[in-house]
Amino acid sequence: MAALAAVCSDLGRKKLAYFIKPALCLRDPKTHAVLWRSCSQYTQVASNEDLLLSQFISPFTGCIYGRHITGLCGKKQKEITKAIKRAQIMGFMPVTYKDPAYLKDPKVCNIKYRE
Amino acid sequence: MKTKKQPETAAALKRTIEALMDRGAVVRSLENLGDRALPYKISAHSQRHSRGGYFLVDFYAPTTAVESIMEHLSRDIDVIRPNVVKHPLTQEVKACEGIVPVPLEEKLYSTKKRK
Repeated sequence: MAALAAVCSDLGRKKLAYFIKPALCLRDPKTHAVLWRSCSQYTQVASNEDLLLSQFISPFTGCIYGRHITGLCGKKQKEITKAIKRAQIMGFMPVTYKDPAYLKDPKVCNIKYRE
Repeated sequence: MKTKKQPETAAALKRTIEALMDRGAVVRSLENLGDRALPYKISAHSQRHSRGGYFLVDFYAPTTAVESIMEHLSRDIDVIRPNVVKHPLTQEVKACEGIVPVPLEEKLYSTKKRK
């Protein structure tokens, strides 16, 4: 993850806030790195990163996962919920389902689906 | 952040940025987040839209100008969903220590004085 941060820093300060989090989410399944879920991983959540925010909603109903599933602390859960609602109202993220392009994301939450 | 439609986006963008500057906003940058299908069909100005262009305008403005900006944008037919959001990078980032373990034994017995 440190290597990815170095790559993203070239893109400039403004883009850093937007691209570094998708980089953390997407590249990890190839290396099978353990995605440690700590709140310090998500420093600032902006509302146009639907890639990051889509990981916390259900792919079937689009409902936001609760604290017992995401494992986030109080502050971050609130921030992510607010960002998801904002993104849905602003037209960045669908409400009733998860964007099909993001269905193959690595699992961040503790949920198990029936196959 | 707003969404627009139709090929005459350049004229519409110019109009909105001029309106912003009339209200005393200093435009820092304008980003095009791409043209894509909206996450859900949005009805605006007596029309249903399913595709839109996303534009992100970075600007400094006095707080009192926000209302007049939103009013002006809601009157513009080309703008489907206008949104003004505080810049996320200006907010100070506090390091989150995660979930603090609370000793539960103290909470097991009530500390109220019983006669």
